[in-house]
Amino acid sequence: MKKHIIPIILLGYFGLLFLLLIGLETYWYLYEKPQSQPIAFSHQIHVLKMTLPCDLCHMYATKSISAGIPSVSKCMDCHRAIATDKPEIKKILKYWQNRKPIPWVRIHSLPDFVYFSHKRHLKMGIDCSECHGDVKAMATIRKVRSLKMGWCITCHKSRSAPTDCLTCHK
Amino acid sequence: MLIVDKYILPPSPEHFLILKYILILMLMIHLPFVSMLIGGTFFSVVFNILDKKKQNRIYLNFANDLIDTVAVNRSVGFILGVVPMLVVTLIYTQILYTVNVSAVNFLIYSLILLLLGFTSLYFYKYTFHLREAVFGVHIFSGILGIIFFLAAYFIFSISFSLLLDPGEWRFVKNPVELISYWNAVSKYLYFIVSSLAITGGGILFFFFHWSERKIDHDSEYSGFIKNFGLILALIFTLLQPVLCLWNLATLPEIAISQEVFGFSAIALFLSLVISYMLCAMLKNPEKKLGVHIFSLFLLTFLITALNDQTTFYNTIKEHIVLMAVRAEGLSSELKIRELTGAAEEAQVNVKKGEMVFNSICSACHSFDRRAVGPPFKMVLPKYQNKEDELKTFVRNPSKKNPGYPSMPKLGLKEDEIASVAAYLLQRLQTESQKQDISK
Amino acid sequence: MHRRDFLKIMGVASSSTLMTSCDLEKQSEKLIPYLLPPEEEIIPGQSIYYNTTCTECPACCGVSVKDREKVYNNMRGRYPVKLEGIPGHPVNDGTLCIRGQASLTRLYHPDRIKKPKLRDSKGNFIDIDWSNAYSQILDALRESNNGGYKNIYLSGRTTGSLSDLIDDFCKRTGIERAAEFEVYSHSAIKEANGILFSKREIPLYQIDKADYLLTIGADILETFISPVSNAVRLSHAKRKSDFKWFHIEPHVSLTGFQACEKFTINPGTEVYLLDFLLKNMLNMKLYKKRLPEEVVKYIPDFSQEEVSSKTGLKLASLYQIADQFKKAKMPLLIAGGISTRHSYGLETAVLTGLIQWITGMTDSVIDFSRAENYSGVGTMVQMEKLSNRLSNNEIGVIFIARTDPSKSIPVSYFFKENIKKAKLRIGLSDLLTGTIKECDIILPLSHTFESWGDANPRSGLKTLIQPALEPLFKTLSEGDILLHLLKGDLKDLPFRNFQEYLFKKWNENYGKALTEEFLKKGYYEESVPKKEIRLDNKSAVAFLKNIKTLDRIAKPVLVVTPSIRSFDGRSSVLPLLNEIPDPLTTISYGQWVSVPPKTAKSLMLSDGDEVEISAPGLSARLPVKVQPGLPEDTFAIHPEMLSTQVFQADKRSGEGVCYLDKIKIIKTGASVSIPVLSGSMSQKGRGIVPNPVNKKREYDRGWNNMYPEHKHKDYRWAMAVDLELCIACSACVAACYIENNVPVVGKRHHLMGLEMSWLRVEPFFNGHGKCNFVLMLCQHCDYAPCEPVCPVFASYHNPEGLNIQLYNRCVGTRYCSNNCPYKVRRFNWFDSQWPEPLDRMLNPDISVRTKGVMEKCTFCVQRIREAHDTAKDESRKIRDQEVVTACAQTCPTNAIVFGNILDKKSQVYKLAHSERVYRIFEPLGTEPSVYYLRKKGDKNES
Repeated sequence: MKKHIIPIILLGYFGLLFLLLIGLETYWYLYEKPQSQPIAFSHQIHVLKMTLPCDLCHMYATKSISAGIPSVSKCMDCHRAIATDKPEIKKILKYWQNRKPIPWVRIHSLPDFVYFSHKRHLKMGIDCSECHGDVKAMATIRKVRSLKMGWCITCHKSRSAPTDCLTCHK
Repeated sequence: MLIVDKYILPPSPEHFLILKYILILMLMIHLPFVSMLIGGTFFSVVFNILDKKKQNRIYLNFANDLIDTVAVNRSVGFILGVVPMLVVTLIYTQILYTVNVSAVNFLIYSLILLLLGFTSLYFYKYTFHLREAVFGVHIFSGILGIIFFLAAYFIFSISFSLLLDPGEWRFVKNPVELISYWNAVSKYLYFIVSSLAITGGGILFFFFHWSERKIDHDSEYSGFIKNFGLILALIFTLLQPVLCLWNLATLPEIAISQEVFGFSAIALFLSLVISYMLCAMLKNPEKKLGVHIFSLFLLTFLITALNDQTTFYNTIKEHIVLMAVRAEGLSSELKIRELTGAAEEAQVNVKKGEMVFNSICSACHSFDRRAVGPPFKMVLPKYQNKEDELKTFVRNPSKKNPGYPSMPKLGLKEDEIASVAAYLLQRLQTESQKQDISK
Repeated sequence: MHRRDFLKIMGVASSSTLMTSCDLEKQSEKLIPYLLPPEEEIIPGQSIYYNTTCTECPACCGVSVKDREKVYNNMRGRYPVKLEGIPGHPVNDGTLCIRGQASLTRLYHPDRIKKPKLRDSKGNFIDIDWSNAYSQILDALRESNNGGYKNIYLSGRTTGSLSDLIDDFCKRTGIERAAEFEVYSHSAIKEANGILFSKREIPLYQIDKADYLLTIGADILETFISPVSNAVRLSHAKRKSDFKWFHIEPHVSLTGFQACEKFTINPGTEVYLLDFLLKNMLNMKLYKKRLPEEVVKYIPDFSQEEVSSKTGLKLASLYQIADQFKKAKMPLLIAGGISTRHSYGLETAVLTGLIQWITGMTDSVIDFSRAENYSGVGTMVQMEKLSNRLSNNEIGVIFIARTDPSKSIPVSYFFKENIKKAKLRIGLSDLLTGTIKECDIILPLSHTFESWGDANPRSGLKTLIQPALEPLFKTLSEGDILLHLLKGDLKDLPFRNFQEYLFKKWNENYGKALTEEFLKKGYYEESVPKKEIRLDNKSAVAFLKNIKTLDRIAKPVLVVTPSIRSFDGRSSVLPLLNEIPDPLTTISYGQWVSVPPKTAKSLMLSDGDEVEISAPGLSARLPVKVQPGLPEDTFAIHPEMLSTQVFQADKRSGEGVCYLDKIKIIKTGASVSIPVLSGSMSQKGRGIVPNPVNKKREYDRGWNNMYPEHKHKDYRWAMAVDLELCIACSACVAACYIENNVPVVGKRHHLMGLEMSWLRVEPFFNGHGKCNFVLMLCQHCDYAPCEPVCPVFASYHNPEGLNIQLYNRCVGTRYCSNNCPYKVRRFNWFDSQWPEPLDRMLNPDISVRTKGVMEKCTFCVQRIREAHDTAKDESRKIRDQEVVTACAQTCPTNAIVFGNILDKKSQVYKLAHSERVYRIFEPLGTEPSVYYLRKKGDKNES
């Protein structure tokens, strides 16, 4: 026993750390890892290649608190004709035929006690990429800003925007 | 950054890959060296002072040997210490082309500090024989060196962790703002701890396995050194993984990917092996594991470097894509130049129009079929020799035909619009001519 | 260490356990797009308003439904989240009552009937689909026609196109349409007007024009004909300097307490009083000549002593009442409600009519040309006939639509039993209420907000009913059901659904342009020809001849008083209306009988003691609530709390009698706990309504402020509550509940003293039969006691003078509520429950508070934020009255005014500087932002 004491201690210690590592990984896997979308939509193709403007699909961004996502019929407008042979596009068609909206996985979400207005921020001349990153270059959309309170505050301060709690909390 | 931009071309994807491996290599040779340098200098100074107090020969020898070992000579110091750092800085400036982030400037500061560090360090080294005469200056230069080094690598590590969080790029303007930034702190501590650990390992290796410096084993001196090296290495090897995990926990979301966890796991395993060997050596000093231990330490450094680079590349994924496009753009411009005999970039020309058409318009329009948009031969004729109207429409489209979805506003440059308009009308003519012939 | 890091570590721990249990269930929030893009004007994240009509009671107020788009079970849809009156609407002018506000919870009622039901052989209900239901009904109809039975269509008050359609339907299918059933049919008034002016109508009482209002029994602010309209008009009248309002009633009602003077009269003796007044006026030449001799001489002749002794009114008060008539230029006398619902109701109404005639009210303040549309509404007598026919097995199929007679007609009619004798009973309803439970086939009705239609509350006014959302369940509107049934036996029907039917009708009646306007405005008012009112002497005489001397209703008497919360009991099914306490007793849930203090003393009763009330035809055990101001030996009770609310019927007018005399009250000894929410019914000298108000006294705060003084740059929000105008109708409370997602916690919690309402109405009775009602809400103090005690800065003072409670920061120490002198902070001891589909009512602009969080009134900060947003868009400051809190918005009398007190031109600034102004607990130096304006009458009292 006595001669095995050191390896045991070492193994115990490192085992603990290893468990911690696995814990971190699980957390990341569950809560932070960008999840696969029902349809592999690529902003890269639509924005970078086709040079479509953001507000073509996110049409409420300048009008309302929520930017809005394109209705399925909007997708169909073009994809009745374009790339209809691609498997991903066929998926859209299926949703359309079953009269089912596409259950996109939400990537940029704020807790429900937060009030955020796209309109207000765009009217202040803040570019989409400030918060959403270079979406046009993303093959699959991902979150590139923490969207945490600290981050919001830094930006508000740097632009001397109001920092009263009520500005964002409801 | 602007000045730099002028002289650096946007890198292409493969270019990025090469840079990545150069970076890793550089860090691979640089970091272990400076780590030992810092650790060694630190203890050398410490024992130097101790000797002054206690008048213990061993301490003095050790201090002297230590500094000799770690800071081999000026040229080595320059090659292993300064050059890689310079290269790293350049590579980052290259990669972060057009990105507005102050991290690169930080790197330059740390480079300067590094140089200062080296100068004072070598001053310390070469005043060792004059120690008795100018003790104050001598020690002071040593301490100064350490301080410079610590400062340099503090800035280095925080600027690196800044690079991992694009959210902060707009706001952070000087290194001090990042002191409360957890990832930065953990990275820095991680660096310190690893450098102390590898110092320990280095002592074991260089004093007992390095051909130039063979010392008789059973002397009191060697025993002292061995124990010191072992304990130093052991303590900090055990600390290493904790900080590694802390660093992992404080990484920004975007920097993380599956590999990162893999690398950390490997690092964890390596430290386990190392610490086991150290324990074994502590139990019976006869064991000769110095080589293994030291090489394992180097391996750990490699893994860490890999890890850091992966996180960095995860962060700048989009940036790489954009750079690639930009590079393509340049090359295509060059192509156009060739095609149109050294014409100005911004000049209207049909060839360019065709390229624009193929890359963009053709997705929704074709000449004689209905696609998303109407066939050109249906809509174009009304623009016959009304090129300006066509341009204005392309510039800012309006819903004309109820049968089709409205055409989006495309982010085309003026000259592109002009050329595409020119191309379309010309194409229209040729098409109609073809039809006349066929009739 | 940042919070997120901490959470991460927590996550680590939790997830490692997750790992071991190998359960890697990914939580992913979904982002659901529209299938088809919505109409142009609809923008997700912004409210849309639909103008329609409230059908919670027969008054037909115009209501604009506020819709928000939400995602439920992976489909985007629009759901109503709030109701507001249509500004400028002829009935309610932008305001709503408590029932109107709460009617949203009827739409989302968890117990709504979701599918058509059929009673199977074993007698329990099974779901069937519509086509099946139709065929069953049509077969039954055919059968009963062949069998020579009569078929009946019985409904509640129905106006507008639906009524026409029902007539049409009945004609085509050989169904006899029974007279519509309403408990409050006001048939005595109708009958009286028939006798005097040969107009069996209920005129429009223009209270706003009057300068002296005398109401006898009519609870104009609670249920009388069109309470909101009355309240609005009353507030206009009250704004006139010389307005006087006397109220006379045999019990105590909310309305009574709002009058300048309130007199208590012995039940059933109103006739004496009216006779006295009448004779009093006939002494005046001006009036005398309006009444021909032959009529005058038949007016019964009582000596004033007799009148005084019978009515129990002092001579002094009799003359006080009468003299006001002489003083007044534009008097208005209304007798109705409780005073016409007894055996002498008709006499009361007729004498009232005579007074109205001779004082010329009938040409000025009482408008017969815009008479309330009660033509279709029948009487108790007709119900008795129907009941008899049922018992004689004459009836084959009976439809019962939107009405629940069984609890509302005398037990002696045995309606409940007789209805079982019909061959087939078809119930059209949204909820399984008493009578509907008796039916064989139940057809679930869509709520008004889910269906098309129109209403015609009074002549010359048409209001729109349009859907604000897709039907939540497989329900249909009554119109659609009838059309389907018609389709069954004739194919040539020119319209697919009721909507087409209506549009065709509207276009025919008004033409395109007007229809457009109608659809936009939600109502359409056309000018009506002035009606000439003539007194029919003969029939008047004929009636007056046989007024015999009356025997009084013997005490102790039980009075079933209409309830502001449940109307005639129909609204008592709404959870919210049970949660909000009755303003007089502050009892929320359960049943009780109000007992006068004197009687309580003699019977040794106190709150919660159970008594047994027994009389021929009634026996009930109920807990007691001692009700200050209630006259001796008079017991008051609300309709929904008895097995029946009408004890017999007056054969002549057909009015139901709501008095039960010679009752026995026995203390059972048992005690029932009733949720009385008010801490105390008296001010205990705390000066909550200080009297006389010491105006502008400079109080010295016993302490000085350790914190920097608050600076308010552009805005400082404040509220003014005019207690002169406030009628304590609690509409504001209901509005607040719905606007702010305030949870309904239920009786259990109320009994434990856990209530969540942010806004409450507190009654304070003083010795001399008066009662002050005070609205209590967060006072948004400048030196708020709650702020410094919060350890986490969840409660703080914001730059616009609001006292903020940050829910996501609050850790629930509850120090703030301990330190609040106004008891307006509410703590969430439990996670609030929103049973499906009530959760769709939640207002997305404000978060739902979780367990362990303190909450309170925010001055509707979400509305302030919205105003800021629009103001910023137009780069200007917020205008006065641009922000209107939910309570102020719905207030029928406009007693609540909200605004920016830094703006010298704002209404609230003016009110805050009126000489009636005071603030509650001013000596504490909390500097509240809520200003109260005390009653005008209280000025000189001490």
